[in-house]
Amino acid sequence: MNPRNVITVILPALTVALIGTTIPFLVGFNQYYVLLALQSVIMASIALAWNIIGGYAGQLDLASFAYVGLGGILATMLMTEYNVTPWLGMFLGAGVSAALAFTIGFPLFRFGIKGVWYALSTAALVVILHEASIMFLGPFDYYIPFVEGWYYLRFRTWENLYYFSLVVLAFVISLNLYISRSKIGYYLKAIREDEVAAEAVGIDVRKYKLLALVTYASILGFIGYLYIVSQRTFSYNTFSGPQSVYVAIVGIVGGLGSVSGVFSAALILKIVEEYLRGFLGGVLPGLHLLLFGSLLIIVGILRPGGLSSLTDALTKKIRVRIQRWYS
Amino acid sequence: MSNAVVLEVSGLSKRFGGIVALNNVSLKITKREIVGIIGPNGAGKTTLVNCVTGIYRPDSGKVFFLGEDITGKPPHLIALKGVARTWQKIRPFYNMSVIEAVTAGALLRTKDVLKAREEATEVLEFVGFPKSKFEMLGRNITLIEHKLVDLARAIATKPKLLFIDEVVAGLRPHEVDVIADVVRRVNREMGITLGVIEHVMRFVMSISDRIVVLHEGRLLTQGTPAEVARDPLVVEAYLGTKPV
Repeated sequence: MNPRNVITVILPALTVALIGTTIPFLVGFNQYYVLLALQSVIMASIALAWNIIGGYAGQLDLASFAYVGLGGILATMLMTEYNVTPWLGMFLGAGVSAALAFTIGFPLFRFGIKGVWYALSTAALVVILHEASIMFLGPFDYYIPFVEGWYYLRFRTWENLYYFSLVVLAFVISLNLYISRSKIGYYLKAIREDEVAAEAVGIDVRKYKLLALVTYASILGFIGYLYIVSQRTFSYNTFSGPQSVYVAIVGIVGGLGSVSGVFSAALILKIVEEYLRGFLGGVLPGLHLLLFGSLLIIVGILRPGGLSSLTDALTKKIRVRIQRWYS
Repeated sequence: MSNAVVLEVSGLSKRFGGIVALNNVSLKITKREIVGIIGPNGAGKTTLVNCVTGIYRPDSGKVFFLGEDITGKPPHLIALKGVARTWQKIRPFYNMSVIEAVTAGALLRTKDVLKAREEATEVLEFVGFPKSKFEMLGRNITLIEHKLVDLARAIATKPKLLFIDEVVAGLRPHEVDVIADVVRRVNREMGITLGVIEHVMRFVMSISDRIVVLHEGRLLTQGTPAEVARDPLVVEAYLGTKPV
């Protein structure tokens, strides 16, 4: 990688993180808005991690919250039971999630499971973990006893955790941009477009799909602790099928493989969802889901290429305008 | 021309259920040769290429590439050894730009994306792909352009042996001439040994050094284009027996 590439990979991530740091000041440290921002940033990180397997490699993975739950619950329980710092627990969570992904992905890719069958298999993984965790955790919600400080990564107010998650987001954005500009990215996209043709130009399809899956799962395993802390609780329901589908929706609506598209989709959908729930949740419970679903259908009809096609068209228009201005 | 054998196929057979797609086929391709592989529909031409490039695993028989047994190896390893191919039914990368698709091919021999992009540009220029369309998405280009990209993508992997599977099918006569010229230059200027599967006789007869005829999975005959065209067995295979 040459220096110019390093800048194009890191600069957008830094910009996003810097703009992000101003938000608590802009909302006057209102804890509701800071928590909303935190949850949006976590969702954006999860969706961008999904972009590696779903967007670049084109595998419709519906197991995101299997990895988030596993890594997150591991780190949380290590902290509450054994007083292990999440700084270590999060990396352990990442490792365990990666190991699970490898165990699932190796046979799936070995036997050429793809398309809808891959989606179904990964969806089943969440269900299995959901059911299995009832046996281990019991049908309870676990509240984390209040501990405070950087050792536990938990604080009286949300700002510090928010700043920390911005760092994670910046990392995930740079990783995405790095992949899209490197050999791995070209190979993953080729696999997404046509596996047989990809193999014929010498791409080890199985190896690269597995690499994408393990990378994605380890990021999610790492983020898991942040997710659980931002929800204040965990249970067997952390292994959530609907949430996993939601992540895939964000990735698709944003535009497969588009970093800016997925990022903006994550923020917009999270905020729209929150407001619909706030305004309509009390009037007619469930109406916000109906509206939310309709919105997705409208986006699907009007912009099948996802939000990224919209931003691409906009930048093209602006470029043409500027050229006309100068000529 | 040296007579080094690039590809040797011996006793290759492949069945699909009750259908025998390849029946004990043996042939050799020597260095820098252009070998035309012809035969009526269902003769086993594409199956032969699929068995050589690892898409199918043959039921029996061996495939040797540069003296090395590559029978049943996975496609990506065979590509790495230096066998490339194009596709009868185009397999385009619709959501990647033309240059990206060819770069993906060039990345087989290097890790450096910029270098691979330069190589991809050279290959695309070599096959005569219009430069103004390098950044276009695969979904927005025409059939002949797809065929050129497909060819460029295969050449970008720097093969020693390249199979071209019905590259001119569905093209107009003047486009056929364009492709014929490209194929000849791939052979002469790049020194790539070629196996050309084709139905369009005018095309395959004009570019091939040698023609191999398959019929119902068997090797019917082989020889120079002129010999093959006169061979009564070949005429019979294509047209049926003589009218009474």
